[in-house]
Amino acid sequence: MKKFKIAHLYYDLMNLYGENGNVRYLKRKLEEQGIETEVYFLSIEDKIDFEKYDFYYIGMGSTDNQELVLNHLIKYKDDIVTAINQNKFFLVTGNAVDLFGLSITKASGKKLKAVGAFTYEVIEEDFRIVGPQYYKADLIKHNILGFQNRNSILINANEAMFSVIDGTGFKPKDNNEGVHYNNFYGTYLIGPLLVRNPYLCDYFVNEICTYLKLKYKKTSDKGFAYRAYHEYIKNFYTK
Amino acid sequence: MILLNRLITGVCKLFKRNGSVYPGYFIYDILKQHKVLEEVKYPKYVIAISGSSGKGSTTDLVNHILTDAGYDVCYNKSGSNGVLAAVTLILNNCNLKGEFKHDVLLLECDERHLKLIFGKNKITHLAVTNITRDQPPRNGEPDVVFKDILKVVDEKTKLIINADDPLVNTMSFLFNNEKITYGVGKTKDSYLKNRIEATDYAYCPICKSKMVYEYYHYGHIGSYYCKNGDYKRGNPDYEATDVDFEKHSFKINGQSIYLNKDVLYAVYYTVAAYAIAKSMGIEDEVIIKAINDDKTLAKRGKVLSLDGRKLTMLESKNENNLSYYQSIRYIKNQKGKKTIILGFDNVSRRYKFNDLSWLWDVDFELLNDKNIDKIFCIGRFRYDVVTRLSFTGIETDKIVLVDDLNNLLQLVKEESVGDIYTMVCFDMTANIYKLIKDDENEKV
Repeated sequence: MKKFKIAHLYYDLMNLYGENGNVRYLKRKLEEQGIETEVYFLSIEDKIDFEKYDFYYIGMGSTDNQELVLNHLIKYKDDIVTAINQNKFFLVTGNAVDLFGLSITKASGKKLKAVGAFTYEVIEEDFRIVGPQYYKADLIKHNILGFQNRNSILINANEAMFSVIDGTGFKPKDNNEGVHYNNFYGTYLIGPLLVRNPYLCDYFVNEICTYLKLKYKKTSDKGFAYRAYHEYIKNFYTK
Repeated sequence: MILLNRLITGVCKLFKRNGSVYPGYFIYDILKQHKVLEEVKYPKYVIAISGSSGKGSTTDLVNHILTDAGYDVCYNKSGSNGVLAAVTLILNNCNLKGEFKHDVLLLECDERHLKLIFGKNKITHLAVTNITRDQPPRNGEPDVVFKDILKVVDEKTKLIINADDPLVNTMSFLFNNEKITYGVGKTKDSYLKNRIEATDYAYCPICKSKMVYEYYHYGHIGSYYCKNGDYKRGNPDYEATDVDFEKHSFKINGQSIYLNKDVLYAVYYTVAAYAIAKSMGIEDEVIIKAINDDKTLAKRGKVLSLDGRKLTMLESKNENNLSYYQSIRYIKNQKGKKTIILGFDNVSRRYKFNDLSWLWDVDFELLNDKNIDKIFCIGRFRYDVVTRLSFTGIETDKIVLVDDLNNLLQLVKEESVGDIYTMVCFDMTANIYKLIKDDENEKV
């Protein structure tokens, strides 16, 4: 069977919030399905071959690091659009979402051209959006838990992946959050999103099985991540 | 304002309220006197010590050295390091003409509050200990914190720089000021590769190439250089070497120094204090005598006993992976079998947010050690902690979930051996302390 290749991009620059948890958990869940999985760590000194990998992950970085990464990633604009259209998987969390729109307008007023895979635009603000988030997702029946800590807003998004139950969307007073197109998934939620939302990770594993033309096997041993998920909801979102 | 500050301080003392902060709160927040400190006539030495960690201990030791050297020092010994505490302290130590009454104003300063306490032309000496990820909901990202600190630097400020931190060390080329650098040489705990990529600074600030590390102490702190020759740690002016935790000793520039805690951060605050004292022109002999004469061994944490087993309470700060690293490293360095208690009910005491991301930045893999007998996971986020531990390679039968905290001590007594270490945050430290005291009282 073909090895499933995960590229953890900019692991040493976009790593503010324990993002390593996402690829480690996804790898474990894929291996539980019997899928041989390898994680490749690539950054700005590497050449990225967008034909080589099946799944691309980018986490959140400081605004300085985000700009450094953008300068590198933008060189691959055409390759990225092709990969998205070929249904390769992208999961981008935190301000990595900013990289894939048309532009990022910095707080100084300077406008940076972004990768342009999508038509949304991002504006850096002088305030931060910080706090826990609770979303409804069309992808799965279980609600999504997460946290945001960012200083940008997103405008002109087409469709949203999540609707806000409690928290903040693309911008304040916006009930929509998350970018989803083919197998591209982007959200401002930070950190180990898949660990905190094991049902969302199951969704990805299921989709990956479809991509690999394999049958998804439901597992009986759920593990502690599921208990953690339900405990959090019980403690914070159950009246 | 000075009289008002004193009056409120007096009232606070009378009613046993927080007299180190409340007067400042009244003046700064209620009366909106944000520029009240600008009129103060400061003394010859205004020393600010800031950074993500180690600033309090450094400040304590600098006070000790300067006092021994004959200076009249005023400093925030209560550890209140924000703007409100600074307003209270400074105004309480001025005469009615606004003149500061002591030789030295020495302040441990919160990284984000430093710019609120001082404008430019106020600080004569600024020491920055390190900048690492710490309480991101409050502080944002490390770059933002660092830029905030730089706002108080003017051309006359003497800079005391931890050269082991490549972000802090950028001050070496950002400013033409008089500066002194310090650092810690390779120790037995230094390592070559970070297991978890949670470092806050990895690329050369000049050419943006990835820096090469000769060794790491923790996080991004260590000895580094740019492979294009654009930037490096180099040789600090004051370097701690020959660190021997068992003998409580190390050397600074070849001279033997007493170490009052057997942990790396104690080496850092001692060499930092040394460098700060040197920046004021104090003689080596005076500094060394002050450090070496104070032989009181400071404990790493509160030490208690449970059924004859030694129990050390190590407080670990949530949302600060390096605080946990220091606790883990300390436990690793102790001899014999060990039992660990780990967990928390709240991530922070400053805010209600419970972001759990940082659990994945902590190098819990170090606990995969044959001398660790059991790890007891407590608190309402125990399942998140156990999930994280399930990636460390630690055998599952070593990990014990404690659903009811009231059963903790019984479980520890029955199911584990060796010295006990609590590696918990503030809320659980108080809870466990009470459980142990109750347990002791039941036996009497």
